Amino acid sequence: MSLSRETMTELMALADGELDGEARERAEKLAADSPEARRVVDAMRSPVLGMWLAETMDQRASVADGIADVVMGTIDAARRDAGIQGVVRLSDARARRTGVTRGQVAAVAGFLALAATIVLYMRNDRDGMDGVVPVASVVVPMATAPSAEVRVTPPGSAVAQAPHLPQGGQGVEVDEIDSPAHGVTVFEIPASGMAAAASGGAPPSVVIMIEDEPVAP
Amino acid sequence: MMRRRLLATCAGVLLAGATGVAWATPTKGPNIELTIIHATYVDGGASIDSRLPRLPTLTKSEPFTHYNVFTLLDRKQLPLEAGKPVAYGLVNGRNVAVTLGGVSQGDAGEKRYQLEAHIGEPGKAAYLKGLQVTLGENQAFYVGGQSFQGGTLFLELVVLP
Repeated sequence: MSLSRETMTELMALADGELDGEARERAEKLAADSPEARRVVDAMRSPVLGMWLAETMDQRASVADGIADVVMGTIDAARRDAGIQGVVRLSDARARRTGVTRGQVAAVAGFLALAATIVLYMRNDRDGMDGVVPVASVVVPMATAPSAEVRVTPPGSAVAQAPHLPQGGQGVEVDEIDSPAHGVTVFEIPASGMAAAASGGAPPSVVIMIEDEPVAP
Repeated sequence: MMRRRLLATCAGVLLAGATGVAWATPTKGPNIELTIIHATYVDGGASIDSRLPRLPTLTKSEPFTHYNVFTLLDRKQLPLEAGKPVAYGLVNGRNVAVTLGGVSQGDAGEKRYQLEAHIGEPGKAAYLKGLQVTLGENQAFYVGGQSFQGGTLFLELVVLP
């Protein structure tokens, strides 16, 4: 065989239809001019050779996979005997590592958001302690509505603040709660319905619950 | 000079009497009704004192739902006068003081009372340093949370005309 390795590769590529342009022209010219080159191309394009090549490649691939499985299994068994976590395929490990990283990122982001919220909450709380301003206003609407709980004083806060709730009429309005050492929760109790009101039932009201035990400073 | 002032004052008093203007006519103020309620929870024994007419409906709502036995401990009516606190001794040794801050008109022309409340105990930090509430006649609000005999005290405050 007088053809060089590079030429053989080029002819095989031509047989597989992988060449184009100048390389294709050069390989076709060589196959046309050289009987040896033409035989190579014809042999490569032969279905018999193609089948043989395919079977050979499959066998080699299966043998390689079998070897890999045997090696991996042996390593896995050895590590399992030693109490080490089983062998992990690289792709799986990458996927898992990526998942963990995302989880960690999400956790860190959540933690930072929570920390920011706490800082803002404490800052607002401290601002509320700086001066006594007329503040909290909880209005119990006259219209029937589900009862609601408004925690107006976090522990240690001096002056309670609550949103001015919308009202359908004028009920009990809590304008300010000052209980520096006790936690305070305000419950609004709406009117118990027109039937109850007509029969002299309970009108809307407010319950201010103050924890008996002082909150630690 | 003094004689002129005296004459002017006498003339003013006579004029006021003739026109019917009331100068510093004392008016009887509203009353604050304080009701002390003892709330407890007893397994299988729910009861509400019949002298607490507002409670049966209220006990369906928080925070009353945590209790099922409501007992009237005491009830007192005290006259309210603007700027003058009225005090009342609670069963747990604390005192509650209520002051009428002022009276205004509501949207429908009804009277609205600004109340200030304080609950404390001599020699100790105030339980409730200050509470300002505005409400109409016969409207009740409650201050709860003081522990007492295995339960909780609820103070019901109502302005009576």
